[in-house]
Amino acid sequence: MLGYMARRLVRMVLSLVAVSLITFVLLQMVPGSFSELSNAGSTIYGDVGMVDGGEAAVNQGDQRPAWQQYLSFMKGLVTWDMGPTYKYPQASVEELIGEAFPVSLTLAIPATLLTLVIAIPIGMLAAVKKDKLADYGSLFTLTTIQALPGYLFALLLVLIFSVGLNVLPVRGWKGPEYMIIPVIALAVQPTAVLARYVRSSMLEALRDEYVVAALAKGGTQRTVLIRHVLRNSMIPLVTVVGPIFAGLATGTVFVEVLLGIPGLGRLFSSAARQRDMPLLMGATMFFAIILMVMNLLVDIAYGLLDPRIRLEQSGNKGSRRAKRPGQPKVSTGMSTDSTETVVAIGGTRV
Amino acid sequence: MTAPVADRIPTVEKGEPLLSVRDLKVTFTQPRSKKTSVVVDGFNLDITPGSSVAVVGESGSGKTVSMRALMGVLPDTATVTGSAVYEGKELIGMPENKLRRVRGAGIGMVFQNAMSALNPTRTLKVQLTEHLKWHGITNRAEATRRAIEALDRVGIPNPDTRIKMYPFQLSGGQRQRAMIAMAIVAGPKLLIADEPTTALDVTVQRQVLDLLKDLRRNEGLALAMITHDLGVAKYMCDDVVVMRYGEIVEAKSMQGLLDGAEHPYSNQLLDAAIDVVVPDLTNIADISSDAAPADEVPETELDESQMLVTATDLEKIFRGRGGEVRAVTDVDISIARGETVGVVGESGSGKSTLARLLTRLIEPTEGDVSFDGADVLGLKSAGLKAWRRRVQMVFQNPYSSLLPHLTVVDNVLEPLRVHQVGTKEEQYHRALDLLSLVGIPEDRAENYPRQFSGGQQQRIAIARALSLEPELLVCDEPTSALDVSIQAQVLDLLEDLQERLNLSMLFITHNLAVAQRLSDRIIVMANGTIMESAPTDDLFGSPQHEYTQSLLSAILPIRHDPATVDEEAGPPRASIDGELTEVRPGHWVRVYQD
Repeated sequence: MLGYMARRLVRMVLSLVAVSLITFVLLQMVPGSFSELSNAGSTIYGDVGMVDGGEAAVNQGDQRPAWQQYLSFMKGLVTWDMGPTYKYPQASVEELIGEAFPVSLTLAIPATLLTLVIAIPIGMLAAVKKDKLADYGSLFTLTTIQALPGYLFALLLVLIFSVGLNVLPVRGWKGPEYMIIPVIALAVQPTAVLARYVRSSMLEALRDEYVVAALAKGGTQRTVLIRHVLRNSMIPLVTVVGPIFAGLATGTVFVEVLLGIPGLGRLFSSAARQRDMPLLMGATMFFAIILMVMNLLVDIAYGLLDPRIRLEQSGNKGSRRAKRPGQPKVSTGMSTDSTETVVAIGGTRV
Repeated sequence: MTAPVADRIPTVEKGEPLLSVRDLKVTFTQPRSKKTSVVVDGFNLDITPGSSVAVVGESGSGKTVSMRALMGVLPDTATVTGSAVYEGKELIGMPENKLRRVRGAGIGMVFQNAMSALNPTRTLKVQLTEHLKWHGITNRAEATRRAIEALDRVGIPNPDTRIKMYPFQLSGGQRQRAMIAMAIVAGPKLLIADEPTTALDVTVQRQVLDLLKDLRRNEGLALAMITHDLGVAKYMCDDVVVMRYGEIVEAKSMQGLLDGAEHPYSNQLLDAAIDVVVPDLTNIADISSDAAPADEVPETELDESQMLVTATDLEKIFRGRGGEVRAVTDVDISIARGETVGVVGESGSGKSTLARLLTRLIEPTEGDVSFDGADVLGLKSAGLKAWRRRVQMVFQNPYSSLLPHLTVVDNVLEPLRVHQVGTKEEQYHRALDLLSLVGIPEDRAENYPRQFSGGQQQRIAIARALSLEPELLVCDEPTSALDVSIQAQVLDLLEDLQERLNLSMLFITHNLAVAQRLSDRIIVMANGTIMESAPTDDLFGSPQHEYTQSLLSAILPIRHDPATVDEEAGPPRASIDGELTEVRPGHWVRVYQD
């Protein structure tokens, strides 16, 4: 297990370097810089005028050669001291992220829990009642919801509860009552995604022969469902829940901007509009780290839930057979048999 | 069906039946279209305590569905009518909570594939004890003790530590044993075994069947066994029920069926089954001891020019994260023009790897392959492509080896297209000719592969392999995915084509009986290398290697007695050390010095 973790960490560091390079190069290629925008003064992107001392930041910042900017940024990242941003010279990047992240997190945790609590029963119900009204109805609703943009629900909730019924605040971030609309709005789409996933994962587990075997041993439908089907079909869900949580915790631009919530999403979108390079790079790297940590946690959770993966992670024998069960099967379009056949006929492998 | 129902019930007068099934009918309703299809109709069966009945039929005949219908474990889309009385209680229509008492505790079930019938994420302990608690048979501690005892009864060593393991940590044979333990731990009186050994290697199959026999003998279990293999049915059961298209066509004693089957379909099954005369293994002259070492034996090699393929010192090592796997070690093989060589071995013996090495689908780690006197491994692009015309392959699974998006005629002319043989018109007509050669009528040429049965698909695959008029045809388990009667058709076809076209053939199979049917010479492989190689008659008449003998003794013939097996004897020695020695002209055996 230790060796496995060490390998994972090395891979994480390498991917972070790659992410930083790609992001930096792409940002360099985007036309316009903070200095240009601030010289132009107020623009269609909003007021980018500098607060006092901004001049100094700019001089140290985007006027330098690109490689110097990159190196000083990476140094800042490693020492977790990324210095002042262009827009707010008094505040450092890590301070701004440190302020915004807890806000996003207080939305992400209840939103993820809400997603789980609603999606799993709906998905189970649809799977058990496959091809019945409950299945068709929920599937239709879920597909529709999934196709609609998330902020639409935020607007809808504001219209109903704030404007219409006048029971909840419209926007802002001043107390617990301000959390209700964003949490629900954030949970809607992931719920639709997850419920559909639960359904297909359950259906796959229900097809397994050990379900018949457990019934043939005399288990009730309910016992077999809980002891064998539910548990096995939950394992692949971990892989979906991890990224859902990471996505919510790193802020969702539309909902945060729309509802005036000072989270990471809003911070990131304003940094992007103003080409505030230190803040942009800092936020991007922070997102990448969160996502990778979540993926690591997912894999550890996977090992805890599935003995086959656990034994593979600890380098045990028998790992050759290990495969994530219930994972949706990826079709490569051609089985190995037909590939081999084509080669045997005399075709080329590609 | 002309005979009245009563006539088709096995006439066994062994007291009150344990289970009595009458007029069982199973109908499936498609949830969307509401279309119904009758899968089982008029199924009758009587099983007395301690007796054994084989339910025999090909895929789709309704064997599994009828058995699952009794247990009430079919999906909701199935409607079951008729009667099934177990110990005086009617099972069909019995409320779920009462029926549960019968499942597991009264009737146990054994499935074909233990890997899927055991939950991969639960330990054996959970899966062997949970139903003891469901049925209120014992408490927790006692349940574990019983489960360990059941594992011991099915012959799993160190049951008290094995019980903590997960199914995937056991070998295939042990998994199957563990599943049988799961079925018997709650003390059922009837065991329904659904193809319990089909997924196993032949030598393991015999062991598991012997275990089931012992359980019957020692515990008085009644057995209903679903199988497609008449040899297995004869070995295990006193009575037999033959099914086709969801109906029973014949039901009588096993011996009665062998002595005189009445229904044409039963006869067809009996004819299609390949039977083998197993030599008396207790009385085989050991000719290896008085054989001279290899280099002193006069060279009996055939003239080099007669050899189409010669491979020497072949070795293949697969390297992966788990380390190295030696799939093929030190193999010499040659195939003469017009000769059929059978390669026989169990899973993991390296036989498929050998086929892929000879066809250069994979590259050997060591060794040489020559074809018609010229080196094969050095061939590049154009030369390689030209050589591929001369060697073609037929795979195990016909459906996945045909291109699903092409019609069958396009599939067959694909090799011609790749090699630009003839005009489009000529290619098309050649493909049609080939299809008719393998018995696919012209009016079906524009259909897609999925519209054909498994046997037809394999015949189409053979037609494609023949389209370039190869000199060597390599068949990798071409019939093991097919039903017995279709297997016979495909083997007939291959035999016929081989004679007409003077093909050389390499025939890979796990089934010695199939190999005997087609091969001039048989090579027995284990652990990636050759154990014995001899002309077919020699191999069956005088098998020398311990491993060959164990393969032969695992065969369950239909019309003859199987070989007696010394149950105390350990697994056969099949190690790769020792020297391959020619004990008679053309008969090579791996001989160990000690």
